[in-house]
Amino acid sequence: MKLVGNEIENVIAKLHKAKNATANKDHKQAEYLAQQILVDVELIQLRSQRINVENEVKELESSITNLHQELQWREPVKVSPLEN
Amino acid sequence: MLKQFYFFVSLSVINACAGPPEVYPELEEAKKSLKSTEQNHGLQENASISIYQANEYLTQAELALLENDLSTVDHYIYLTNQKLEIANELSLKNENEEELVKLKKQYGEMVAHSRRMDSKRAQDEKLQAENRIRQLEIVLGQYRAEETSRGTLLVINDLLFDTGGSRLKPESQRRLEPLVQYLQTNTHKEIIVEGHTDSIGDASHNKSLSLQRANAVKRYLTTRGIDAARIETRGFGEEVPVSSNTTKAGRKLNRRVEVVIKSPKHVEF
Repeated sequence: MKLVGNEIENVIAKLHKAKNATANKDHKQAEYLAQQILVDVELIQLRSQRINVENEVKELESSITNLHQELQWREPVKVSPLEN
Repeated sequence: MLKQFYFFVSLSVINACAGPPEVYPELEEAKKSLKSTEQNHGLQENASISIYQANEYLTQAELALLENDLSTVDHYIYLTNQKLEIANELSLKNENEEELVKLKKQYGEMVAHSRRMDSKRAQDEKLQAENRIRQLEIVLGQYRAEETSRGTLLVINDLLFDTGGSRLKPESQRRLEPLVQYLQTNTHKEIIVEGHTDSIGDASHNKSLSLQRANAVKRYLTTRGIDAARIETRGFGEEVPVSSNTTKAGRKLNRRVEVVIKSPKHVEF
């Protein structure tokens, strides 16, 4: 989750600002920050999910490549003909 | 009347000075991004709700600009851009998920294919082993045989050579036919042909004769297409009797050719 680490820190900073704005009775600013936090969190969640799926795709591609190579290297068995 | 006119003109000037900026670069940028995203059909299919919300936020930003509320404009531009980013992420995620479904299917098919290959290989190996056993049985059925640490020992008593010589008689060639078949089929197998005599005559002559007869068997086998490198020969003369040399029957048993079919682990010292 390093890739979304900075975004999470930004959200935490906004949360502090929103608390301060509420304490200062700056309701408009608090409301705006709350809206932004919701959208930021939605984006972070989606980005994390996308990265997870991307990693899963990479792992599967690697497994397919390995299996493909393994199948190529397997030599077919030659069966000796039975003499009558 | 003139006073009222001046008041109206002054108000207009004030309004004009405090009015919204004609160009707001961030807003123009957001509009471009939205347009570009809307034109991307892939994104629209996957992220239509996010694009719709971005559109709504952009409208809010434009309205705020008309009211010259720049902090609200910035806020809605931010939300617009984030929603467009969400739309992009959704699109990418859906593309990856579709790819993942395809890859899982491909991988599943490959694993199934691999299992079928394993199963076929096991069947082939079993069949090959059965063939080997049958082939060996054919050979063993023709000769007296026993398993030794060196491999399967075939004892061929009734091979006939020219008297005192080492030329194989035609009937002896037929006697070697099962061995020929076995070696032709099992091309990786190697053998040792060992010659033995009875104790009649000179011992050194017998030893030489037994080696010549073993070599005669080897020569015949090579004429039948068996690689000479697979055949080793030895002559023991009268040194390794299997019966008494005092009786005719015993001497007949001692005059023999033995063939050792080397086992895979057989090591010569």
